[in-house]
Amino acid sequence: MDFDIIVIGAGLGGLTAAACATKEGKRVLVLEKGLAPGGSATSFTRGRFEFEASLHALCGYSKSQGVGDVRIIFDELGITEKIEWCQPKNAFRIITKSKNGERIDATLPFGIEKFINAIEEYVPNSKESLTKLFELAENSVNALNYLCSVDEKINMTFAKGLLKDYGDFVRTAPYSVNQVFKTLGIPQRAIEILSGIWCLLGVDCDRLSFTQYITLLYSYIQFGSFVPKERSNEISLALAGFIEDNRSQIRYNSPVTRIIFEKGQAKGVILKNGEKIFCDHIIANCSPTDAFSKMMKINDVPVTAVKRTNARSFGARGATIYLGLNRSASDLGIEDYTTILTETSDTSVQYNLMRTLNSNKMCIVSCLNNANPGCSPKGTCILTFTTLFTDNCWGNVEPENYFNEKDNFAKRIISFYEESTGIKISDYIEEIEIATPLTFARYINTPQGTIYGYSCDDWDSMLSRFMTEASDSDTKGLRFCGGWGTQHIGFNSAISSGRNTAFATLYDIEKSCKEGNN
Amino acid sequence: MKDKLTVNSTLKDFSNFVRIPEHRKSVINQALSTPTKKNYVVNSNANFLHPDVQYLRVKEVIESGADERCYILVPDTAHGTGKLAFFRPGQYLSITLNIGSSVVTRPFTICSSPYDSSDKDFYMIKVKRVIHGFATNHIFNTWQKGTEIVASAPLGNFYYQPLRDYPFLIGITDNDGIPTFLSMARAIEEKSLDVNLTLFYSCREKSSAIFMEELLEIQKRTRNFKVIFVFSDEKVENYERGFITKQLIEAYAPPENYSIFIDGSSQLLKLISTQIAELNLERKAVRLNIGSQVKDIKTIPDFPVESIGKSFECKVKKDGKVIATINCPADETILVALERAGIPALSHCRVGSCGYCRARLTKGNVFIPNGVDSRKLADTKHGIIHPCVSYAMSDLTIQIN
Ligand SMILES: Cc1cc2nc3c(=O)[nH]c(=O)nc-3n(C[C@H](O)[C@H](O)[C@H](O)COP(=O)(O)OP(=O)(O)OC[C@H]3O[C@@H](n4cnc5c(N)ncnc54)[C@H](O)[C@@H]3O)c2cc1C
Ligand code: FES
Repeated sequence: MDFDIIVIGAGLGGLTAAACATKEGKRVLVLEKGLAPGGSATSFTRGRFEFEASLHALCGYSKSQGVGDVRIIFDELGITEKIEWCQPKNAFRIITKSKNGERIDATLPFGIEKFINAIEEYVPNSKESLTKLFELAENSVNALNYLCSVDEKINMTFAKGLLKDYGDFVRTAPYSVNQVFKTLGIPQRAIEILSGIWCLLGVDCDRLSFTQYITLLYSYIQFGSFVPKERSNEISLALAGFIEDNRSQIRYNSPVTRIIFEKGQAKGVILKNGEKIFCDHIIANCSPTDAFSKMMKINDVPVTAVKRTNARSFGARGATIYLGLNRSASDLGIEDYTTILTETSDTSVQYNLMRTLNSNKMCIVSCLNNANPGCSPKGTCILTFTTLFTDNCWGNVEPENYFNEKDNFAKRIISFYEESTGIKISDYIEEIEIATPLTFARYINTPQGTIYGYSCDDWDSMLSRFMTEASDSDTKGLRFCGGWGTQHIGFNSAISSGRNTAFATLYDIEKSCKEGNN
Repeated sequence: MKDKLTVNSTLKDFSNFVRIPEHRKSVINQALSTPTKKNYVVNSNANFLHPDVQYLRVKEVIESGADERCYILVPDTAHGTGKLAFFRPGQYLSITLNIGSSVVTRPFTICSSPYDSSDKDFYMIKVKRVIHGFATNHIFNTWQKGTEIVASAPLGNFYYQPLRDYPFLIGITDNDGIPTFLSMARAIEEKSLDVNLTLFYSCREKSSAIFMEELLEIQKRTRNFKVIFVFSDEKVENYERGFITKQLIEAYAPPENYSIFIDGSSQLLKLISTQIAELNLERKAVRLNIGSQVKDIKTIPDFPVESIGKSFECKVKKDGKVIATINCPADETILVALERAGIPALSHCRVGSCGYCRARLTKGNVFIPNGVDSRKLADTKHGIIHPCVSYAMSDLTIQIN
């Protein structure tokens, strides 16, 4: 066999897994359906603009060596210096309506203290509870790091041991964001501001696991967020370069159609052109749904895996509008990098509005120039709107209406932005591209055009996946990484899950070598 | 010491924590064990709208002018294409041709209307025989009723976008770009395209204008379409004489904002660019289709003179192995050199914009003319090239897909 590991898909998860295994001396073959590395982490050009395809904010990176999981991995691989980073000034601006119809418009800075103080200005008397919230955040993040560093099974005795240092984490981890907010006594208006970032995870705050929410908020506010100067393509190419320059290989235009199993053990893959490649260790960056339903024979899929896949629902399906405007951000009065626009601060109501095409106006807007000033020619700017759909409404659009529906959708979102901010942009559109779930289905090959992996509902949150990870690994020789894996979606999650999966596979290899020797 | 947090009670919270894994396992355990659903409408629609390939058949060959033919292409159901993918006027098909030992592609703009493909199941393309051309002669010599054809999905971004463009369009074209505007005119007539188009069509003389009758017919039937023929070498009663100028455009332009769509030969683009510049329009209102390739790279001002007449060796890697070492003349694109050598290389637009030919240059230097380098910033830094617009300037090693 020529290769120690086969990776299916060159998204960030697959690339990182391949790079880390390569670094450990393994020969890896990455098989990618498309023509370029990165999956979602890519860019494209229209006229004089280069659009970022996905990234708004990368967490887990920092300016200091050894701080942040992404930074640590990039340092290990020696690619940190290859990527130039920019940093937005503010964390986010949120514009929404409170339950009683009042307009909420808050701009929040990075840095925990500044963040708390800024909310205190909007909502007097919130400081104390917010300070408690961030103490709890720190406790939760430390607890998770500790959990990752130990090999022990989480049982009663182990959990009791956690109580000493991580008691607050233990007692809040089983609950939803809203339950914990209530416990902390955070004032209603502050909750409405804080919940804004729920849409980055795609589950409303009544069902979103508090621990998952707080780890995101904490790392985002504490370390700030980053964007690569030459778009996320720069990250993907740096990882791909590392792989290809160190004896491993990436083959593009190579969709995998089948994973070969023999006696319950992965044995290799078959490509669309019929070519068979044998290897006992496979890391899949594609969805388990596709792997189990399309790429494996029914009899090869363990019942537990079938049930798990059937129990889960898809996370949000994505749609993005990319605009190249022929006025500068300052001419238009766009001051922020990230603006979150929702119709209501009630996240469950908003979640339901996002089920259908016509009622969904929620969007995360970024003006790249406010993080990366030279990203478009002088006198222009780039504005991106990402919308999430919590149901399969694009599946109801007839193909013959598709082009029109796309335009109508973009019109609705753009006018919602204009109404909410008072900033007129529709006259200045020089370039526009509209991506819908069909676009994502086509480019990253996810079922229903999902961009958020499996929904991280309370029972299937990152923490609960993590705590049951061992029983999830029920396909011998086949592991999953990336947005469909244990760590859910996000650039940092995909990257760190790539590394974790690589090491789990290295361990498998070691184990099977030992078994072979005996 | 700070108070400890409890949501329900210390005991309950703790037991809920311990139960997290059990809870997840029990939800999973209650799920159905029937095979997981594998097909989703979004994915099948995406596939239908953007198929990897379309298998077509020539249904009819129409002589449309001296050395000009139109081909009516229909789905080749025997090869698995049931229905044609939808397109927007201005988009093209990239057609794969096996000629001798070479596999090449050529882009052809669809000149039929959207409803022709959706309701009547055909695309029409126009092919002009290029005197010493390679692919077009092959098409003229071999395509007949029944010929099987392998085409891409409709591709390209040169089409009307209602959120971006003004609904009043000025089209500027010649024989090379006319398929785009014929498709638009037909779309306007059948009401699949809601714009007002005034088309300036530059020709040497009346007899060389193609689709003249049909364009005039559409004009008669449709309020929203107007065609102005501009003959450079012949004075014809009731028609404009000379070239398309700023003054001429202004004479027909509406008082409100309009967008100019330009599609045609490189000579046309050259002639028109100064006229357009004088109109002083905002950049978004002028859309140019870079459809035609540079004919002779040596005539490009920034082409390094010292390379004229030189030829280099190019090692070609695929799937980690060197599959060939080929000869690359400095004045021919690397893509053509690959095709000449019989290496199947991916391509669609052949003018540097689609990125489909993407390759990694691991050794050597290439020349890329100004204006066709639409690579992404990081691609440029990491040695990614588009072989369709790159010329060898030294011995090379490239990795292709
Ligand atoms: C519009 C948008 C905005 C986002 N914004 C942010 C953000 O601001 N911050 C953030 O952290 N995250 C963001 N995300 C999420 C983030 O981009 C993803 O979670 C992350 O990139 C997922 O990486 P992945 O490893 O799962 O791979 P993916 O990007 O899903 O890539 C999977 C790869 O596998 C390939 N593949 C699939 N099937 C096969 C097969 N059978 N054979 C061969 N290859 C196959 C695909 O072609 C693809 O290249 C955003 C995502 C989108 C789409
Ligand atoms: S074929 Fe389109 S860029 Fe080369």
